[in-house]
Parts: sequence; C-alpha cells; structure tokens
Amino acid sequence: MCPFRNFLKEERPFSLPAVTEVLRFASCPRTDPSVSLSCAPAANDDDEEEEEEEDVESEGENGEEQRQPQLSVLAVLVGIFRKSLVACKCEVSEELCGMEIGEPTRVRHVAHVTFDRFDGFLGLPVEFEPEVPRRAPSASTHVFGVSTESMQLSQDSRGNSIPTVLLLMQRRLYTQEGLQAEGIFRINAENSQEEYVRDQLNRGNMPEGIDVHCLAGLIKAWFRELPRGVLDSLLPEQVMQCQTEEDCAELLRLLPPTEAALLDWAINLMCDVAQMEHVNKMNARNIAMVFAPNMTQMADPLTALMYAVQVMNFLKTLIMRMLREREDSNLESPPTTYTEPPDDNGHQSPQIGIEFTPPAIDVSVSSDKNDDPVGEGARRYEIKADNFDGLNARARVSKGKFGLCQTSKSNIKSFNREIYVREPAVQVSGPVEKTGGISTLSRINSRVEWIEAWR
Amino acid sequence: MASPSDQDSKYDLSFKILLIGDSGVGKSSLILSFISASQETTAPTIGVDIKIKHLTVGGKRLKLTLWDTAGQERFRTLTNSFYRDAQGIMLVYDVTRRETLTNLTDLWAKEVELYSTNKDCVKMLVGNKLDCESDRVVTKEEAVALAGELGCLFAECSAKTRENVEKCFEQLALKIMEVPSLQKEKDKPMPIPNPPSAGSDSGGCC
Repeated sequence: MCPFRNFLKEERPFSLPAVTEVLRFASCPRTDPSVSLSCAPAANDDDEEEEEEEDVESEGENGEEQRQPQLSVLAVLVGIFRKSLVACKCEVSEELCGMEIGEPTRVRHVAHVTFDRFDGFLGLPVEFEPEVPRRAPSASTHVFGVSTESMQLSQDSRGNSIPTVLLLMQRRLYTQEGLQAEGIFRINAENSQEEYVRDQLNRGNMPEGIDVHCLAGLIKAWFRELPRGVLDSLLPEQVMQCQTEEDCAELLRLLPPTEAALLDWAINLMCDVAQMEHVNKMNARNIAMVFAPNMTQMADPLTALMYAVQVMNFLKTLIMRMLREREDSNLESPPTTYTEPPDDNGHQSPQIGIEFTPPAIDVSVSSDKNDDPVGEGARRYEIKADNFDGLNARARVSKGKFGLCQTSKSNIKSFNREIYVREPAVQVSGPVEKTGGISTLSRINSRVEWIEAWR
Repeated sequence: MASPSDQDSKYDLSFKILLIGDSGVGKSSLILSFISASQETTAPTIGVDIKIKHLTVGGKRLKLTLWDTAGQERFRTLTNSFYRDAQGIMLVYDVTRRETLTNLTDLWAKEVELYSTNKDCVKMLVGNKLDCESDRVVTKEEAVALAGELGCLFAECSAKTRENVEKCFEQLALKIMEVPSLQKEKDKPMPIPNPPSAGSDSGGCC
C-alpha cells in the first residue's frame, strides 16, 4: 500500500491539506485518508448552497417590487431551484449517515512530503528513511503498470525524461551485449526469472546477472502494462492513414510530451537494435513488429491484432528515418561541420548531471556547448563510466530548463535532434544494403557507439 | 458457406493442428519447412497464420489446417480462442534454449489444459533446431520423460534441414486418426475468424 500513510501520526486533524497535497503527488487516490477527505468538502458544499439559496430568495423579493412582469417567472425558477436543493440535501445527508465515518482524532501533522520525479521523496523525515527508500523508483509501490507521472525519471542524453528503471534496464542490456544476442526482444526469457526480476524491480532492487532476453522482455512489458498505451492518444484511423515519413512525423507532433519522450527513447532503442542486425537478426521490421503490440491497449484482442500491423508500419517508418539520420550525421560530419540550431526558447547549455548516491558514483552525462571550441551549437555527450547499479540513480538537473515541466516543444524538438557523436573510435565499416532498399546503413563496430547510444 | 469446391472433395479427413510455444522457437519455420521446403528466416508472427497442407497418411487423404500462433507475450490472451476444436496441438521448444522447454511446462501446457475444448486432443512435444547439435542443452532423454509426464507424443526435428519434419506431422495425424472422438469426416468448412468491423475498438471480447 501507499507509504504515505506512515506519515500521519494520530493526533489532531489540522494537517489534512498537506496530506492531500502528498496524495496528489503520489497519485494513489485509493488510500484511506482520501476517503475521509472527500467527505469534508461535501459538507461544505451543502452549507454554501444554503447560503446561495437565501441570496436568491432575497433577490426574488426585491424583484417583486421593481420588476413586476418577471415575478411569475422568477417565482417558478426559485421554486424549482429550491426543490432541487432539497433533493440534493436529502441525498447528501443520507449518504453521510450511511457512511458513518467519525471525525479523525489525535492526528498530528508530521511532515509535508512530496514525490519529485527527479529527486525522489522530498522532506522525508529521517525516522522514515529506512522504511521508504529515498530514491524510490516510483511514488507507488510498483514500477510496472503505473503511470509515468508517478515514477522517478532521469534524462536520457537526448533530453527525454524517461523513467529511471527503463534507463537502467537499457544500460544493463547494452553492457551485457544484449544488442548482439540473436532475436533480442523477440525471444522470451524464462517466465520464472522474469517474474523474479520484475518483483525485485518493484521493490527497488536491480538484481545481478539478469538474462538479456529477460531485460528486453521487461522493457516490452513495461510499455505493455502502462495504464495507457504510448500511442493511445492517436486515433487508429490516423495511424492507418499514415503512409509517408512526413505523415508519421506529423503524427508525432500530436503526442503529449510524456508519450513523445517515451516514443523517442523507444525508437532510439529500436534503432540501436536494428543497427546490429547482422548479428542479432532483428531488422527494422522485426523489431518494430515485436514492439508494436505493446504500444497500444485495446480491449478487443482481435482489433488489437489488426491494429498492431498498422502500428508496426508506423514504428518501422520512424526507425528507418532515425537510422538514416544517424547515418547522415555519421557520414557528413567531421567534428567541425555539424551545428545544432539553438532551441527556440533560447536555452543554450543545459548542464545535465546524473549522479548516483551509492559509492559506485561514476557516471556523469554532460552536454556542453559553451565549452566547444568549434561550433556554436555542437553538443558533446560524455559518459564517463559505466558502472552503476540499483535504483539509487539520481538525476539532477542543475539548470531549471529540464525540470519537471518540460514543454512539449522541447520534447518534440528533441525528436528531430541529430546528435553528433564525437568519438574518434567510431568507425564506419561500409554501407550495407537494407531490406526495402530505402537506405544503406553504416555499421558501427565500435563499442563506444553503444555507450554513446545510451540516451 | 458456399464452397464445396474441388479442394474440399479431395480429402477424407480434416484436422486442425495448433502450434504453440515461445517466440523464436521456430513454429513458423517448422510449418514453412513442412509445406514448402523453404528455409528462409521468418519474421515474428503477429496473431496467427493459417496454412493448409494436404497429405495422405495410412491410405486416408488428409487436410491439415495448421494454425501458427504468435509466441509474443502480448498475444497470449488472444491465442486462447485458437484452441477451440483443435484435434492436434504441437508444443514446440528449442533444443538449444532450456527456457523454451520450461515455459512450455510452466505456461503453455497450462493454457492447453484451460482452453482446449477437445479433451482427447492429441498433444505432441516437438524439439526444434536439431541441426544445432553442438548448442544443444536439452537432452532427448529428459524431453522424452517430460513428454511422458504431460501425456504427449514426442519428436525432435529441424526445420532448417527438414530432418524429421514430415514424420512428426504424420505421426501426429496418425495418432489423431486412432482417436474415435476426434473423427469428424468432412464437417462444415473450417470457420475462419472474421475480422471485426473497423472502429470497434471498445467492447468486450467474446
């Protein structure tokens, strides 16, 4: 259940507003305190309505003198209004009697705690820290099947705010060479291991030695079990009519910021997989196909099935587009040439730092334009180490720009952003024919590239 | 339905055979190998593919309707409706990946129990990818033992080399022919599920 209940010590009832706030942040509306809360406003409403009723009456009396012709109309209206009010009142009082909830007694306000999606629980009293991990992966007790809104987020290197648990799973997948595993994301892991790891992740632990197929399966499961599918805000008709790359790009703009960020991250992940097609046998179509049914939620499985084909084509188009963008940026740009247009809202150099609280602190992702001797806007991403574990990951944003309220504009922008990878170790090993003949892919053999690609 | 065509009159018995198992064990490849001797690598199946193969076994002309289901987790709930009236069920695993066998016992065999409407339907445990002998992790002995436990026939084959592929389908067909309750000669044409009308994305399934 919700950990917030612990914060209420029984004493006096004056702390309710703080509790509501906490509950709203935590988005777990089914806790006991919220039940008692919802009663109080109901009673208040009742009082207010009574007052209103009196006002109307007095107005009516005045009108009798001044506005004779309207008298009958007003009288009728007042009558109706009064009747409805009486009816309302009866219902309310009956409900209240039926619920028989007494006033809370001996409630003491201990602390005002909020859940910050980047920093975890804020204002948590020390005495509760052992019970509630400070860096909880989510405000609710699960990381699967809960809305992104209540989850701890970190930034990927494209500026998307992504649930930390996804980034950690992706990181593990890449360091364990999951991208080279044949049929990655297609093959199921052993069910029992998946259940175990899922359970551990829900508790905030990241166990060692997880099979790559298990990680991949859990990433898919995470999308599948969202309360609302990533693409559910789009109408099936819109997706079906989507033929060209431009259509797809157009459709992307309709996505809400959270979903747009998740999709951008997912497409990038799929591109990373497709780039290793020669070893994992998952080309753009295959990887799109195994992801597609997890991106929408439909009650009727048969409709979902048919729709999955459309979604698959949509995803495939986006993957092909991003692959081409990557190829272009790799081929065309010696370090000097690529510049990125400054963002519309003018923020130039966001400092993004990811810190990890346990001693294994090692990673920092920095993107710095000012530092760049070459182009005004060229961005550099550095990942300094690759050893981090556990859900203690902490992403701190030192400039407010990338805070909680990331605008849809910046999210969508980031989707089109080409990131230049400045790494001398990147090698282009020669163009390879892609199925469908749309583009040729450059194969990047360097391991550095996957780490760079962790964004 | 109005199609008592040539095809329909050419067989004595019609069997519905369902292939289930984890994603990537080679269900589609197995069917493809059986039907057209093709060895191309297959893409993941969405939902179900239905293929028909005619063959003669034991002097009877058979029409096998092969239901190739998707192994992807998302489609597991959908698969339920495919079990209806299946006379034969192949539980396919990959001899090079133990977890595909464990998932058969942990997940798929339970699905069969739950959803298959023919209680006498013939089940067969099939180990695929026999050509990857060097990567084999599931021994034949333990698989045979498991098949005994589950009350299944057992076969190992390779969709790639086509070794034992036809044999295992024939063996399954023969076994079905031995079970009287599964004999329904030339019943009504197999109903293919109609795609639901477009736009009906709400409403429960039935």
